[in-house]
Amino acid sequence: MLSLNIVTELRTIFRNYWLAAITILLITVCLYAGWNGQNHVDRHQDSITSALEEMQEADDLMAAQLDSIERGLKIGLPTWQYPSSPTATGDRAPRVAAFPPGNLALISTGQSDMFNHYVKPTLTGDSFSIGFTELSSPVSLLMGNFDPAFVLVYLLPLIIISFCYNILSSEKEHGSLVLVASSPLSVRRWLLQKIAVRFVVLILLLTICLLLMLMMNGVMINAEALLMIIMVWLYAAFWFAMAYFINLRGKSSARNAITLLGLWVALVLAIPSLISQSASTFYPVPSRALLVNEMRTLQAELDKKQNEILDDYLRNHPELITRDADESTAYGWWQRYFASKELVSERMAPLLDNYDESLKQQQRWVNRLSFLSPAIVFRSSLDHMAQTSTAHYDNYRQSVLGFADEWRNFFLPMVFQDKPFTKAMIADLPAFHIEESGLKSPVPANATILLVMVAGLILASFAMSRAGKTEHLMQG
Amino acid sequence: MLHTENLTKEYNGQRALDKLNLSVESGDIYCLLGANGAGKSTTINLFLNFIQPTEGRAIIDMMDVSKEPLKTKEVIAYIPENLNLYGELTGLENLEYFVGLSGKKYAKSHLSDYLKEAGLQENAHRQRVKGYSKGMRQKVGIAIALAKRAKALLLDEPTSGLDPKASNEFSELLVKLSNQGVATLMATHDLFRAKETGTQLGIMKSGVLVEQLDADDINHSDLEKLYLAHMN
Repeated sequence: MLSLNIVTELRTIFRNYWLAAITILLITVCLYAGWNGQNHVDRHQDSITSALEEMQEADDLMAAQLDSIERGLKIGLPTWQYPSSPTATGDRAPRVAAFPPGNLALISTGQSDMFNHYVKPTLTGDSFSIGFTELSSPVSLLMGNFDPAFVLVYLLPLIIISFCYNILSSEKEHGSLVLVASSPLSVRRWLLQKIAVRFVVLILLLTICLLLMLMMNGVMINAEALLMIIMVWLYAAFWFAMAYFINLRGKSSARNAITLLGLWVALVLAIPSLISQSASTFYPVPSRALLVNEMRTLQAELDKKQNEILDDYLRNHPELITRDADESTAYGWWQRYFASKELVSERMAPLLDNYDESLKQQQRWVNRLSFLSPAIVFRSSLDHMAQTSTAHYDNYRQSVLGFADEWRNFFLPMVFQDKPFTKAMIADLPAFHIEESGLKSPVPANATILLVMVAGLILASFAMSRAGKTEHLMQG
Repeated sequence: MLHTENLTKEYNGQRALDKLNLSVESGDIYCLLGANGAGKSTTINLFLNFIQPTEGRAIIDMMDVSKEPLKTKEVIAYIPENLNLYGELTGLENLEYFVGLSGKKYAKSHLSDYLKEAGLQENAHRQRVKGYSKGMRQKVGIAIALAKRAKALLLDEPTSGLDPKASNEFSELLVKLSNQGVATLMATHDLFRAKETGTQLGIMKSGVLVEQLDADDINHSDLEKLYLAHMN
């Protein structure tokens, strides 16, 4: 029966122009979304490239100025801006801590339109006031970007629904079901084969469109790209299984269409939105403005007692005390400043931890409830593979904070020991890199959830329509 | 071949079929007559296992339909009032598909022979069914029965809406199948066709088989009088 069903279903699909229509639709939306996604990635990459070029030019100039200074020549800068001053270099020659787009970044804009693609931590800057977020268009944030993730998460289920909402009900309404049901076969098995043929046809088309879109945008087709395609198959399988379940209830085409569209609204729009809303209600994140305000008050308080602070600081950091330092160098303005900065950081740590913990709790809440919506599960996998997930940006933020400490620690001994920054030290300047060891892929767990959902729907369909029992299908 | 034993069907307490007992042996053409809602289609649907009996049994070739729903369908063919085939497929492809669903496979030329035997003109075999008349579609239904080598034929008002010539051709096909030993149970409103084609006649009213007789024992005029007497 399978080969017969395959041949007949293919003949029907080919002859009623559905295949031509769906092919044109899929190619158009996939290529347009890919082009749109790649444009975003290009802008992302361009901003990083131009920042790195700017940094290189500044480094070259700094090297030339240091060379002149070391040869005893004068340079056209006020002395406090001399690159030989560690505080000047630490602030005026920051490294570009960039988050470059991943191989599959065009798939999903994810959080990338909410964050800066690079930051430049400085010696005197506050770690927690580094501007990670950038201003985005509120319209774009509201509607989402027309990227491949939008097509796959939102539009693909609608295409599947339009393809399958009446796969059985139309046979019933048209009258051909009675002929099928008078044959010695299980209607649910026959329908499963019919819907499986449509699934394979759509999946083949979609896979070709996605591969074409990836290759046209210069994306490397690696294991991760193939894994992304497998996740698309699983998500599509969920919607096909849902259409199978709904059709087997034996209702009319109109009711099937309304039910499936209602499920689309619930699973793709309402539940993700409710989960997100509940996360911020149950685990509110403290306002950033409040944090900055808190930090300034603390700083003002500490400024009043800088001498005691410096004493304590040097007791904690004896390595920074210059052995032959006299009072004038040991108690300079910068030393007092950095000593109080550390205290501010220490005092602010609980608030910042609270901020981070709230974000983590929100994420855990979303993860815990993600099984309620295949759209959340699928979306989080796409964002992870595109490296634009919340976890990726949080990891980037942590890497930048670590790098900001490293940058400060590179210069602090020079500041305290009153040593100049030299040309030879340029090569030793800390370089930024993103620590990725802490990132756990949600893809295997998400794939399992989708598989369980598909299997559950098929089993539920089988339980609802026992073999040989067609009464509920033939009525009405 | 086709038997019922006190076959009863109720819908929400309303009795649509009341203790029906009938037998259709191989070679018989049993015509069930009766007004709309008399229980004719219900009887056929019970033989097809489309609905479950409230009481009693429908038996096909010694098998209880409720217990062996798939096996009983191996030996029957069904032609409804409107045989709706797949419009995008040709007559030949439809035949290949529906015969294939019954687990039988034939060469294209063999299937074409069945269509010819059912009276479908050869130039229509490879035309899409959406352009077929009702008579042509019913002939594909007969071809399905022929190719399935069905032992029993269940027909639910198959000649309704057919012109007299097409209706006559259809009846001739039924007689031909009957001569091959096929048992036919046909629900119909067409008293004339029933008398011409049937070997046995049954009149149903409100779910009850009120009259059973051999077709040879009554003429057209008396059959009409008897029918109207029961209906009034």
